[in-house]
Amino acid sequence: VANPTTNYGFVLPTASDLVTDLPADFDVALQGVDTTLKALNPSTTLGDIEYRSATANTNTRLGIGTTGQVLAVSGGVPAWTTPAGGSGLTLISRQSFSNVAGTDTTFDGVFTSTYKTYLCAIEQIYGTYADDLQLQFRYAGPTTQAASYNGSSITTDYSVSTVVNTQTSNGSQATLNLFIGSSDSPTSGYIYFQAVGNASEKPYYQGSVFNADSYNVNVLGGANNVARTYTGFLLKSASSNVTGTVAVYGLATA
Amino acid sequence: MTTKAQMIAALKAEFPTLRVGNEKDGYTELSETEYEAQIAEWSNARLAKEAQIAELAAQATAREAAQAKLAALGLTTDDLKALGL
Repeated sequence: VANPTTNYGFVLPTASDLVTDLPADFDVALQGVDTTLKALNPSTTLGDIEYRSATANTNTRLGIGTTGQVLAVSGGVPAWTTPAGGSGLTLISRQSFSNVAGTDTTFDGVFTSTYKTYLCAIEQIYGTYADDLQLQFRYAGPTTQAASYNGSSITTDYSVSTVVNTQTSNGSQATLNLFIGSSDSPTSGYIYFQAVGNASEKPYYQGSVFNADSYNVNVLGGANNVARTYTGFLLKSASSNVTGTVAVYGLATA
Repeated sequence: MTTKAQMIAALKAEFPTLRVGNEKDGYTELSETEYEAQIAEWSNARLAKEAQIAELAAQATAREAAQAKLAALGLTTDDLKALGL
């Protein structure tokens, strides 16, 4: 072994040292080892991690972050940070309902100032086959916005070459498709919502739904012409009960 | 043609009660006033749908009749397009 040692320069006793000096020599050597080990492993607490500092053979302790934080880089060194608005998609609510006149209060409060865009995933919804699937916004109260909808839903069918445009003009609700479907042929799809939950705004939506029986695809979009701070929405059929499962997600802004 | 009263009666037979809610929070039956309002709204929607379907059927019948007349004259819709019609 080199003396001092190659990597950390620990000074060891030599062959010419007096035996009576050995305790003091070992004190020097082992204190050097102890000091260096602590510099390399400065952990004190559960969850601590270390990273190399600007000083050779001296690491810096980084205490554990809080729940939800992720390890990122700040100023050239590791740091725990909180993702703005959560990361990616955040599930806000996922609800199943059976034979209801409408989803009513089920999706109240899903729109807040936390997100700018919301995704409504219609896993499935059905009622009486040839009924319309409809959408209405909800706002504080909670109250259903039952006027001033404008939009359209373009329907293409696998067996028909013509395209149908279902228009909503100053309607009491938005029509998403003309065939909500039945239990063995439900409607599924997605709707994005914007201009909701943050301030008094005219809300809008766009998306696509598919009916598994008629194989028709509906590309849809629309808005409500009354500015409010909308806090939710409801789904319903034009003239029958609905059954289904729907989830609402917030999209991270950063 | 179904009258509104007939449609309301049919809907009430199909849906003696109505409820709202979900699996997680539970269900609440509509009050009598809410029930009547919902049935009235649905009856309007079904009558409108009936009228819409009848109109589409009438249009299809008219189209078939026109195509039959064309065929009797030995013409097709392509011939009309060729004439700019």
